[in-house]
Amino acid sequence: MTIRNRTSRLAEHIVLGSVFVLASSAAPAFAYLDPGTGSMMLQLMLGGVAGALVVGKLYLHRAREFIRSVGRRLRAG
Amino acid sequence: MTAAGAQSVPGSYRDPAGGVHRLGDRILRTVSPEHEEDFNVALRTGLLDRLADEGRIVAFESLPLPAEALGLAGAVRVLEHPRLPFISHPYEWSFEALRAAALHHLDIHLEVMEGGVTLSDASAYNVQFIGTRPVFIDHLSFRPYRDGEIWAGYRQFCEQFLNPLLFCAATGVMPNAWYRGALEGIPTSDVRRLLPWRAKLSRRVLLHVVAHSALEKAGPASGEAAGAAKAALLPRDAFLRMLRDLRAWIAKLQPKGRRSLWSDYMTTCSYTDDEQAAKKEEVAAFAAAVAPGMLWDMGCNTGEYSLLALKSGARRAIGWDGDAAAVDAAFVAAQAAGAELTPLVGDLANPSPSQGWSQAERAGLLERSSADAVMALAVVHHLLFGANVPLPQAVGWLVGIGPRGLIEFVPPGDVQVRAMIARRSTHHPYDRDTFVAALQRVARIERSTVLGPSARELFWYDRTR
Repeated sequence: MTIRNRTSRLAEHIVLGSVFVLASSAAPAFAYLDPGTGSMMLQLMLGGVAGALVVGKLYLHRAREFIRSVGRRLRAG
Repeated sequence: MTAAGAQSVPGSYRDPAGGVHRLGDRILRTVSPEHEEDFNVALRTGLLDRLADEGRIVAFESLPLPAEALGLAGAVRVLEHPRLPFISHPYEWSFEALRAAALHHLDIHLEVMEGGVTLSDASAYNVQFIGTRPVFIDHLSFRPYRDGEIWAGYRQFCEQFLNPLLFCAATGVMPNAWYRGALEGIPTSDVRRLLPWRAKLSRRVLLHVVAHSALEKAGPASGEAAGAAKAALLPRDAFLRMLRDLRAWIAKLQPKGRRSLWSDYMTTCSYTDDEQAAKKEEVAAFAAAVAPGMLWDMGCNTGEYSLLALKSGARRAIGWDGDAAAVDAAFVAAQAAGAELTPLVGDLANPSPSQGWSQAERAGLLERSSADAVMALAVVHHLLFGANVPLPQAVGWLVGIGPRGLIEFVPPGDVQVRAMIARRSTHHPYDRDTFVAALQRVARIERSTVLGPSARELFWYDRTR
């Protein structure tokens, strides 16, 4: 296996790992979804570290929102 | 852009880059001013000419402008294409045909990428078949590749090629009925829900189905996504790796547990070798005498008689059968023989309707074209007993497809027909006299041939006299 192939496999593993974490934390909050969004995000993440970081940033605020909402619920309960 | 004369083809309204028009028997394609530069750049690479010379995209010729005389005033470029023998829809393709179309699409994309050109979409409707040879038909899909851009047609490729193939490979269920109802293809999120968990252990399924669908569900708003796509890049190498990896995957997929009622019919049917030889002789004589430019074999099974007709005088043939496994066998046999047969999946009692936008985007079976000749071998009793179609209607419909034809009548005493009758308490009249009277009402019977002791009989009709 060449270094390039190893890198591409590693990128795929990072994508798969991140997707499970993100998908499990994400609430279906959007009233309208661009049907091409998933394909766009997947390709950016497959494109390498830079793309994965950009996509990661997009999800970061959603993760923060999720944590805040859990915190609010805990305080209220 | 269409004036009097040329008529816009209903299925070509989507692409703002141009459109396809019909002028009598001629097929013309206009290029819109907005797409002119992109098309010219793609054309100057010489890739389109090479692919056309190799027969992998449909041939084209630039017509002199202005095109007012053609009724296409305002077009910045007009291409003329040869007319294809038949337009089929992806939901009429068997597994092997859909696979061949998918591989053809990927091969063309990989090849043009080497020359700095990419494809703007990945619609399965942009592939057609001449015999079993796939041909790409949308010249306006070619445009210059911009370094770092994502694969715009990826989602469409998954929905229209990968997902139906994968669904069939993982479950053994043919996707044609679903695809026919969902013209844009099978959504990735639906396939994810239906795939068995074991199928999801595959790296490629996790990536192209599970991750793809999860990112779509949990994705950012489209504005944010578009911004991200501008900020980040898909390196060319990663783009090519995706295309190559999909190609390698699709080439290896197989329908799960393929078992067909009809694909082994040729070895289990209820008549003798002599009768089969007599049937072949009659089919060959019919094809030689009529020499149809286009023969439709209704209920083609594994294509044996279509292939024989092609050897004996028919120029091209389309085969229809409801059994996708038999159609796959016919597709592979036609490929091996290099024959001009396109076997397609279709329920004769429920042929493809006109549908899509304005109920005209994807033309129904009989709206598309008609045949010069029809063969319907051992089919009529299936229409009567399988779909309760009365004999006069079944015969009338078949004869309506082509002016000349060969129809087999299987007598009520045949072992298979007896089994069908035994399962029913009542059915429409089924006997030779009713059949002959029905055929004589719509056509002249040229001759009839009893095949042997089974009393199966072939009727050669002509409704032009």
